[in-house]
Order: sequence, then structure tokens, then C-alpha cells
Amino acid sequence: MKKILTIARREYQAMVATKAFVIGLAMMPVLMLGGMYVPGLLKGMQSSEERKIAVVDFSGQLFAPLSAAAGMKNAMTQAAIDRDANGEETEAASEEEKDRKAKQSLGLDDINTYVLELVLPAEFNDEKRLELSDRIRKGDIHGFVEIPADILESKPVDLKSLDMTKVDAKELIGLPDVIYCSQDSAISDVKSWLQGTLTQLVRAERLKASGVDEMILLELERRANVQATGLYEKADDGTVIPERKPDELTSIFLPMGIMMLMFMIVMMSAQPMLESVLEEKSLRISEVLLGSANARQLMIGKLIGNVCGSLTVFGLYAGGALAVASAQGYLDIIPLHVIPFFIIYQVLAVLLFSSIFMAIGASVSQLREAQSLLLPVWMVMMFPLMVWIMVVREPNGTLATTLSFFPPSTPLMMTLRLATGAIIPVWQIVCSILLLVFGTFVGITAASRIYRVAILYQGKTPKFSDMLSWIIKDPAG
Amino acid sequence: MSINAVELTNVTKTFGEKVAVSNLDLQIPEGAIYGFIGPNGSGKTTTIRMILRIFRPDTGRVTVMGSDHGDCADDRIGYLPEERGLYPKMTVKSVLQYYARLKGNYNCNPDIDDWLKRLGGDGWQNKKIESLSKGMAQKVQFISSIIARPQLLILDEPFSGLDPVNLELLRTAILKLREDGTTIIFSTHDMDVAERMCDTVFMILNGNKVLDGTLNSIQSEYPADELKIRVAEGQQLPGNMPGVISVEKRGQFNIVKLNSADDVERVLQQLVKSCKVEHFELLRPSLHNIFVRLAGDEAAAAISQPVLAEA
Repeated sequence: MKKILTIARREYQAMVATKAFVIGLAMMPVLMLGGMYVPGLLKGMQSSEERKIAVVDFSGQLFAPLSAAAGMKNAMTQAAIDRDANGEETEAASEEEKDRKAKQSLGLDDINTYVLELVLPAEFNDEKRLELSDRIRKGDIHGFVEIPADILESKPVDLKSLDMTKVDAKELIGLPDVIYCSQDSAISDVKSWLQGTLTQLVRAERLKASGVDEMILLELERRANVQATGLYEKADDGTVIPERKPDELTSIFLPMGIMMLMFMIVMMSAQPMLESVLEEKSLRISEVLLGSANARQLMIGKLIGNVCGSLTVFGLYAGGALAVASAQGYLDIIPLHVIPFFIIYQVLAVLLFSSIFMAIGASVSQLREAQSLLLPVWMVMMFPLMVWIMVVREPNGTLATTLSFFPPSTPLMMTLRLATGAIIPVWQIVCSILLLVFGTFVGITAASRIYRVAILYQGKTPKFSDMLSWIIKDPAG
Repeated sequence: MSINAVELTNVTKTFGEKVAVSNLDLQIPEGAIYGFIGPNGSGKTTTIRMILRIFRPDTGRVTVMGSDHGDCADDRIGYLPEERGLYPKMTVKSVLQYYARLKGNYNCNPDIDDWLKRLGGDGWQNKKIESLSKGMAQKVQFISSIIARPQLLILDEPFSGLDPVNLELLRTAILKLREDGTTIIFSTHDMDVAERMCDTVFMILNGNKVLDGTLNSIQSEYPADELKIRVAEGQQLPGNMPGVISVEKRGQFNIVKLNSADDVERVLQQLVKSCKVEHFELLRPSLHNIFVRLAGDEAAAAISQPVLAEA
């Protein structure tokens, strides 16, 4: 036992007391959060551009209001840019401002200004189209718009005569095509601005023509908003209030984040095991070690050290996350009930995957040789990551339940399901743990048989069939 | 009564189709320096690994210091493998502490300091292994094999990578350990080293024992049939000496190989008739020559090559 603890202690120190570990520990969350903040940071590098757009208005009525709308848009954009530049915290009062803030955080907001140039429709023909296209190529203008003459006309559609399953929206509404020609991509800011602004202008004109008051129409069209709340519970002061319901993004991404934490911890534990065993094999340290302790003691010692290392990682990450959540007032949306299960599944997952990685590390002589052997292990392990969204939608669905009982998927799958806050039947939790314990036992036994043969095996990388035969019959014994 | 430190009785070990060691009997007496000699793949390392309890024999019995083969490694055995096995990122002290603790020596710090001092490594304690030269690392590896005060020490090519000064330092340390009662198994490819270090020699070829005994007894079994001759400057050996198979010039000396030891006198008689003899010596057969006779030239060539790995 003392030997095992000696080995475990060295393994723990080798895992935790290294620069790589500390850097990895710091980098993992940075990389994950980086994905959320990088676009926002890149946004700072975007600059506002003045875009000149030629307008051919065959209707003859829309250029003036469109120019006025562009002027308003420019003034608002400039005001927003000034506010951001001065670092003013604005109250996200209006829906528009909220929308702008959201888009800004994703780097999708439109910060360009538009200048419109009138092109007389009388002179407009294909020659003119080519000429405008050339001006776009030269960078003189950004694009040009052709507004058709009949855009303001309402075209009643005989709804009864249409096959509603086949008809497309354009045909139904009868809107003529406005043509916008530019070198922009499909998600051009000009195109979406034109779409929105022209629709509003055309709508207002049509309403005016048909004598309908716009305010009445808006009132009639008001949507029925549905708000989700949590289950009702009695507060300390006796009032019945609904539990705080996390918003949609939180309820989808928080469970995924918790599952990713499990995945990261297992990876951060299993990968160093492979490297550690490979180092011992290639530097012939294993031969010295085997002269001091048998393969079983070595393996158990290493696994214990590894599990302790992984629990340290969990402690640091979970502690950090809880501290941040508590400081930000989000502690109540963190599913604290998951923690004990997380630890159980984590310990078993680390034991299972680390022992498999050890067996692979012992079987190869170079890290790149390990890749082909690792691929199937990766595939099995990462499967829950591919289907997580389905599991979040239906935490007690067939897919989720089935994968929970497949030991290599159990840790990620059960953590994800529990983190959604859904009520998971107790028998499923118990069964998944028992099956995982059994799977881990089988995995460690097989891995230890491969390990004790492979660790002294020099030369070519063994095939799966060789490894299988070592599991069945142990030639070192 | 002398007891054997290691006893192998009728030991066979196979790996799949390959017979690594076949029906091996071996007794290593306590306090001896026992040489293990054999070419690459001869079964030497397998034998060592069976003594170390890394491998279990298929048949037969391996007894180390009175106890039978068990599952656990024996803490009374120290092992210096042919290829060095030290963690490059660890410090000298932490590696030595780790190996000592694995062998049950938990109060090892005085021993570490003492041995580093004896081998000229004072002040290395906090150096990382990767910063050491080959010779320095070799000395640390040697200390790691004896840090738990083993009763049986297995040394595989302990002198490789050492300059003459350090080689002498290590040789003295090994002889001192033997004086203190440690039994030493000394595996080497260098026959000269084996002749200088070992009391008893064991040779293995293709898994079979081909030689086993004290150097004196082995050499007495093989009659001397080589002469080392030097004649006066400017003179040549006569060309038609009786019973001579070959003459090889080595510096100022001629090594004359004879058909049999009976020809010595006749050669001497003819020599004194034809030239002035300054040196005439009947050579005892060297281990190398004995091995050549037993195994043929090919195996002898293999044995003198440095071997990197053995199955």
C-alpha cells in the first residue's frame, strides 16, 4: 500500500506542480469565454464607413422619404458611436437600443452611414446598369437600388384560388422585387436596412392611401406575449412566488457548460496519463519502476494520483465558478444539486479513461502512433457532445436515457441531464452509476493487462488484435 | 555454510513461439560478483527480469535470498538497467527520494547526500536530471539502484558512458559494496570488464547456458593455445614453425595461435635457433576466445557490439 501511495504522490505532483498544468488551467476557461467575447473585441476594430448608394426610383415617391430615413439613421448611428467612445453607460431603454446592444456584443451591428444619390428613371436602361456596376467596381458608389413603379400598389390576391401548401410568401403578398445591386455578401447591412426601411415606407403609404389609421392597425396586430416562469414556491415571508426562471440561453448553455467542464477535466487528466506512461516507457523508467513495484501497483498508484489531480482541477474550477456566480448574484441559477453526482461521475470517468489512455501510452513508442488508437476512444467519449442539444430539449427522452446506461457516455450524459434541472428518476441515477462502476472495473482490468505487457514491449506498435490477446492471455505472467 | 543469493532451477520462459530461456539452472552465491555475458537476444535480460520478478517463469523455480517467486517486487534487490531510466524534469534529490521510497527506504536523505558526496556529486541535489551530463546521470542512476541498501544488486552495463576517472570511482564503489556483503550480478558485453570485475561468469546463448563457473575453473578447462612473442628489432619469426595456425601482429608483439598446447615447446625450440627471443608468454584463454570457441565468430561479433534493447 505504501508503494501505491508513493507512486500516487509522485503522479499527483507531476500532474499538478507543472507550468503546463497551471497554464492549461488558466487557458481552458479563457478559450471557452474567448469564443463569446472575441467578436465583441473585434468590433472595436470595425470602423464606420460612408456608403454611397444610387437610387433609381421608378415610383417617383420614395426617394425623398428614403433619404430622410437615411439621414435619421446616420444621426442615430453617430450618436451611438459617440456614446460608446465616451464610455457612457446608457440605460437600455428602448427595444431598439437593446437590439443594438445585443448585436453589438456579437459584432453584427450596423455602424455605417448612408448617402443616397438620385438617378433619374427616365434615363435608366441596361447601359446605365452597366455604368453603375462599373462605378461600384471603381469604389465610387457602394451599390444601387431599383425601386419599381408599382411598389406602392396593393395587389389583392385571391387567397381561395391558391394552393396554400405550395405558394411562396412573395406571391402571396404580391410585392414587386426591389433590386439591390452591389458587391456585398448576402448578409449585407445595406440590404437589410433597405428591406426594413422600404417596407415601413411602403406600408405607411399604402395605409394612407386606403384610409386606415396606422395606430389602430398596430393595436389590432399586437402580439400575445408568452412568458415562462418557474414552479411556484412559498417564500420565507409566506408569499407565493415563482422560482426564478433562467432565461432560454442560460437553460440551454449552462448544462452544456457543466458537461464541457466534465469533458475538460477528464481530458486534462487522461491525456497526461498517456504522456506520463509513454515517457516512462521511452526513457526506460518503467523498467526501473517494475523492479520496485509490480504493474498493478504502478497502475493503481498512477490512477489514484490522477484522480486526486482531477479533483483538484474540479475544486479550482467549481470554486471559481461559484465565487463568480455568487458575486454576480447568479448563484440561484447554478444547479448545486449536480455537484455530488458530478464528483462521483468524474472520479469514475477519470479512472475509466485514464486507464485506457495508459494502456495506449504503454502500447506505442511515439505520441503520433497513439493517435490512431485514440480515435475510437475519442469518438465514443465525445458522442454526448454531438447530441447535447437533443438531450437538453428532452432530458428524459429515449436517446438521453439510452446513452446514460452506456458506460463511456454515462459521465457526460448524466451530468448534462442532471444539469438541465429535469427530474431524473432515481433508479436511472443508481443504475447508471452501477453500470459505470462495472464498466470502469472491466476497463481498468483490461487496461492493466495491456499495460503490464506493453510497457516492456519494444518495436512496432501492436495491433488491436495483439492487445486483445494480451487482455485474454497475459504473456508476461 | 554458504547460501545462494539467487537460485534458478530448471527455468524455462517463452514468449509466444520464441524460447527466451530454456531449462536454466543457476546458483549465485552470496557475496559474489557474478558476470552475466551473452549477445543481444540471448536471454540475459529475460533472466534478469525473472530474478527481478518482472516476469514469471513458465516452468521451474526462481528463488531470491530464500524466498520464492511472488507477485510483488523484492525490495532487497537493487537494479541498474542498461538504459538509463530517470525522469528528466525531476531534480536529482526528488528522483532519488522517489526510488528510495519505492523500495521502502523512507529516511533516505542522509544516504542520498552521502552517496552524492562519495561519487563527486555534492551540490547536485537540486539540479534537474535533464541538465546533467551522461556521466553525471549515470552516477545518479547508480545511486538510485543502491539507495535502498539492497542485498542483491543487478548492474547492467554500469560503466557505459563513463570516463576513466569516473569508471574507477564507480568500480571502487561496487567493490566496496561487495566487501560489505552485497551480492552483485554484473551484466556486460565487455569481456575485459567481466574478467576484471567478476569472480564467476555465466554465459547464455539462445536461451541456453553455455558457461558457468569461476574464471579460474573456466580457463583451466580450456587449454592455453596462444603465444605472445617478441623478437629482437629487425628480426622476423620463422615462417615454418610446427603446429602454428596463424600469426597476428599486435604492436611489437606477435600473437601465435597453435593447434594444441603440446606444440609450445617445439615452437620455442625453433624460435631460439633462428632469432633472439625477448618475450615468450603462454596466454591463458580469454573469455572472448572461449566464447568464440563456444558460439562461433558471428555470435562473438555480436557480443562485442553495444546492445540497445533486448526482448
